[in-house]
Amino acid sequence: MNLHRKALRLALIGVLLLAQAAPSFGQDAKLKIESLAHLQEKASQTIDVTLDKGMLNLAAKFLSEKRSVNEAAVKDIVSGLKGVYVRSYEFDSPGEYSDQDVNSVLSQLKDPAWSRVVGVTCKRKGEKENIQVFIMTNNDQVAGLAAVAAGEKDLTVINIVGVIDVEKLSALCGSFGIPKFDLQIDK
Amino acid sequence: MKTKAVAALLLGVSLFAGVAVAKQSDPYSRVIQQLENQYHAKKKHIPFLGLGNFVLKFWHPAGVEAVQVSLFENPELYGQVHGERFDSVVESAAAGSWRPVVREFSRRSNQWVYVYYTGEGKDMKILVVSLDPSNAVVAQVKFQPAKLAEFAQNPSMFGHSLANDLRNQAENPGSPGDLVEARTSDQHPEGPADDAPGVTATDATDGGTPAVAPREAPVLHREDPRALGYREDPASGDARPSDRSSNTSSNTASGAEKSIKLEARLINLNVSAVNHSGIAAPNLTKENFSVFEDGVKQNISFFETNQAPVNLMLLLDLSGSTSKKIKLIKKAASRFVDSLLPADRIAVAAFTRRFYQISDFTTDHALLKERIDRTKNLEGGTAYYDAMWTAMNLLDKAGDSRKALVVLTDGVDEHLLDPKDHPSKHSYEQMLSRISEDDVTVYPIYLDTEWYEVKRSGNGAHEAYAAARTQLYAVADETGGTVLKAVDDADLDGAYQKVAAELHSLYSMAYAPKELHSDGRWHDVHVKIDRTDVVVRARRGFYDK
Repeated sequence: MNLHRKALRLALIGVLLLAQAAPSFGQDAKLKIESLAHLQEKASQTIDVTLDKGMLNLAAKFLSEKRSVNEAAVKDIVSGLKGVYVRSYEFDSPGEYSDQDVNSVLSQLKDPAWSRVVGVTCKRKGEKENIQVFIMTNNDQVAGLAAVAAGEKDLTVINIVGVIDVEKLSALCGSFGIPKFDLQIDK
Repeated sequence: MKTKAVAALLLGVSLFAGVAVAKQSDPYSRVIQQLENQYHAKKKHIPFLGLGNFVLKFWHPAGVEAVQVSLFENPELYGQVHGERFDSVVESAAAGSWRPVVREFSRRSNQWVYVYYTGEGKDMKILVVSLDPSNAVVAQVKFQPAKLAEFAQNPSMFGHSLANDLRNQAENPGSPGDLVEARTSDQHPEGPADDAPGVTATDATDGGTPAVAPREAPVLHREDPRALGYREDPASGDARPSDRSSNTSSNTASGAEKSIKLEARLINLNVSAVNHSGIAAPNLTKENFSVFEDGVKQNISFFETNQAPVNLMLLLDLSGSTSKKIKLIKKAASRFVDSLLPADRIAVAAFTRRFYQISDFTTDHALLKERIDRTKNLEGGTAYYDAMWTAMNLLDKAGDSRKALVVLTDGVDEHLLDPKDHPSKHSYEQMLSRISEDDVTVYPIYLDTEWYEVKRSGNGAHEAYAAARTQLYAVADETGGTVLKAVDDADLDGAYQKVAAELHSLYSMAYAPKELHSDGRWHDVHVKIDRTDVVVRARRGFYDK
């Protein structure tokens, strides 16, 4: 499903970007995204994923370090996370969500603890979509990541709380639909 | 015999008690109850399910302790329970310690899926509720996560490893449940050519070149630009995605594969390479260039020669100060289009206080010239900074590399002449900052209108013109472009020709910075070449935001 793949990719890109920033974590980076729930009534397709620590722990148990290097990396990444929250809405026509909906999330990201780290462009033939990615830092440590993707007919918010071991990061590139790119890690 | 009877009685009591407790506490039972009582749905019998659950009381394969599944078949069920009402049924049933994991609703396929879980540590329960137009499935599984995970790592039953069986099944393409079914939509199966000869990713009419997404139909210029044809943008810049015109065909939008690119990790550079006479230096390779950021040599990860097409925006200042020269401007602009390569994609726009897009990006140079020729005198104020901002927005959409902006202007934004009466939506500093971030090479062609303006409004205009010239040079310098002056009418044609030559001296390259600080600070970029007979010019740096 297109929306599935998009949400998954955004989540994984979020994980990648989070991991690039720095190891360790500080305060809770969980966003309040419940206000978007009303969009479900207008959306032709809705995906609402809430993976809290308990579910992430369970997921980690099913991943094996022995099966492949990638799986080991994913296991490590998942083990470091406190939560993954995705709200993704796809509409039949443009203009179904408002600035207020987007601002309800972006306003939380104006907190000084959050900073915009990178501009990402997600292209579908002829269509362009703005994706803003933010990380929360606390005492030079990363506490979470947020991504807001606003397209003509879709809106996706990703919130990842927790950290990843930077050293495991590159194993993910080129797998699970993540494009291979020249990843530079600041040390 | 008596002992067996007592054991059977105890077993029966314990099973009944277990079921009774489950009925009281589990959302599974509450959802079933709602479906049966409120919606009068009829449960379909699932053979051997009771027997299976009985076995699970004593034996927990893969750590699974209980499986409860109910299937409802009722064509009218969906119509009765769809939408918000069913949401509240599931949500109230799963209230308490149950936590949502996935909730997916598709109005297109009329499918609603809910996954909840509860418990941590030794025992967990997962509830799955699925509703589609003809079925409702409610399932709940109780399991020991550690044992299930252990089974997933090494699947075996009665000492027999299932891993080999599963592997063999996966490797045998003819076997049921093979990988074709499991393939994600990220993969593109190569469809048999004889089945669908016309369905390919390339345009068959274009010698196999990639198909291009449909562009907007041409818009004709008429007398009143606001009412008649220009796609008018009040030079506001920041359009939200939903504000953009939707010129993508729906089938393209729904079916096309997305690619995701992390742009900010790459710093793009358009590098002009000319000899000392100003003639483009051909046949240079990546190895000829060295890129330094803050004195640290960087690895060039992308390189494109100067023969690659350019995405170019030609922006014409048709405000009051330049309107007297419109015939000359049009003639020179048309000749400029002629001097570009056939594959160059060009867009033309004009501005006064407003922004008028005369043509979208196209390689149809004849069409461009026709549009330029039809352009009428617009007159009005000069929102130069805002027009540049909007032009940058359009260039953002044009492509990824070799982007250039040629702006014919005197550079005097009204804001310079009268800041109070003519506020600008974007300041010069904002415009400069934006330009320094984008990988667009800007070539201002300075059309000198100072004499005309001084005559019209007095000597005070001299100061504004001096400031405007400084700003034009700064913009060119920041982006690796150059300012070309057209002091009199004859110069204009020559200026355009020089820009055309410059454009094809541009090499595109990109590097991933060895360090990204995200500190908003300026970082110097310096490009060197190992040829003494060639001079290079590129943007001077970027803000690491």
